[in-house]
Amino acid sequence: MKYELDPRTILAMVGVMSTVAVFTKHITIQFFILFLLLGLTLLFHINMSKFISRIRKMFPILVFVILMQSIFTEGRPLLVLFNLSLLSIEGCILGIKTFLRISILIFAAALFTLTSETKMIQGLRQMKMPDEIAFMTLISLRLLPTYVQEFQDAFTAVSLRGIEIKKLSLKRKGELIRYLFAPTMVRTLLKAKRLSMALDLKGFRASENRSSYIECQFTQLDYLVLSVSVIFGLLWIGFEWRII
Amino acid sequence: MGNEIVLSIQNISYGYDQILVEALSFDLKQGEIIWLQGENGSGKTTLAKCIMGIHSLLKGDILLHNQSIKKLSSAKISQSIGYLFQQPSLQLFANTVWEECTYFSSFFEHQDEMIERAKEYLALFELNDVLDQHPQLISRGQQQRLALIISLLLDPPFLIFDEPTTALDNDLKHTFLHLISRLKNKGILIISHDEIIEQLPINQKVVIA
Repeated sequence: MKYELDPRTILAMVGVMSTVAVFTKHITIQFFILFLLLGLTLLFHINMSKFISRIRKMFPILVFVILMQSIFTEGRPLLVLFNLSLLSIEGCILGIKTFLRISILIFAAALFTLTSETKMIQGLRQMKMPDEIAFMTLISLRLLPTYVQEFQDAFTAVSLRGIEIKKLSLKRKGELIRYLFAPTMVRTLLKAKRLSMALDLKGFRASENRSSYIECQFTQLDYLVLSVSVIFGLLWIGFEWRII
Repeated sequence: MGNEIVLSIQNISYGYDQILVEALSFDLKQGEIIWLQGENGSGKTTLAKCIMGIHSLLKGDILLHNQSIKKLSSAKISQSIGYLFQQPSLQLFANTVWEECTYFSSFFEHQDEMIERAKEYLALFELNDVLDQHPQLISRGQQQRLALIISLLLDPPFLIFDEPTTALDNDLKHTFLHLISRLKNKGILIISHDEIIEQLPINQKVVIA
């Protein structure tokens, strides 16, 4: 059986989980959110292969953070080389926390695939958000993936000039990335401009009121998820500030 | 030298979710021009991508100088095959036309040779008047010629032109054909549905249905 959620429910759920994941000091809470998100992705049959490959790519960042935290913060040493603490317990914990935070954000973003852009806009409009802001939010959400795509295309075009990017020295790679940074950003912004022009040409803001053939409606499942999210958020606030 | 097979397409099949083209074979020799024709969406550009190593084959093989392209990186293939995109502006990144021709040559050992070649082609393709202009701000025809120069900088024995006459007016189309006819001793694969290509000395026509 396939379950569906209202876009507003998804927004609220992702908002609560991401906020807690970013601000909590407790690794157990982060693990709990991650497992909860894993459960949700299974429940809603979300194809996670793309998101898992992104997480896999972050392993070098995990190692880097652990090493940096171990070297530059005081802690109980696990591995010492020439009087330098290369690995410490506190460094490992901080590294894992950073890794969990990023993983949660990626998994939470996967929940957005449960709804379409059209439904998301309608959801934002029903939350009394002005049309301009609702559409701008959606365009800005697309900016980063478009930029990443533009950069990948630029790299392909550069390798089609006979340049073996993988074989370049780190310094040369850095130079190339710096060189491509501005032109690819300009291309991304031009795409966003063309998108907004297309919106205008389709009669956006031509009259004061807009009608929509979609109406978002909460179901019992939405109320349940919303309640759980709110209770979870409140419990976390109480736990974090020792109110409870 | 003139009869050397540069590129050999051997019984290849390719596509995306489903097979677009099945069992396609042809050879290209140095100095030959092949005209690849086909309907929109028939897989002409995808064939170019397969040759350049940026799209995988489902079956068969492509040999470049008797070596399978499956073992070569796109960069390595590009050192033998110059590729002119359907949209030339996608190949341009620099701040000026001159920089576009020279910046990327700094990644190669024979940089001076490439710069000399750039000067020669800039004069030949009449772009010396726009050397200081931004590549995204010059006309489409000039962008086309600039992208063509870029594909020639490594002096590859083989060239792929993907819809080179699209969005060019008649005068520019003729100028372009004139430029192609001056590229002697190169094996050229032209992907186009434009009948004007017929004016070139075509050695072989390949039709993808």
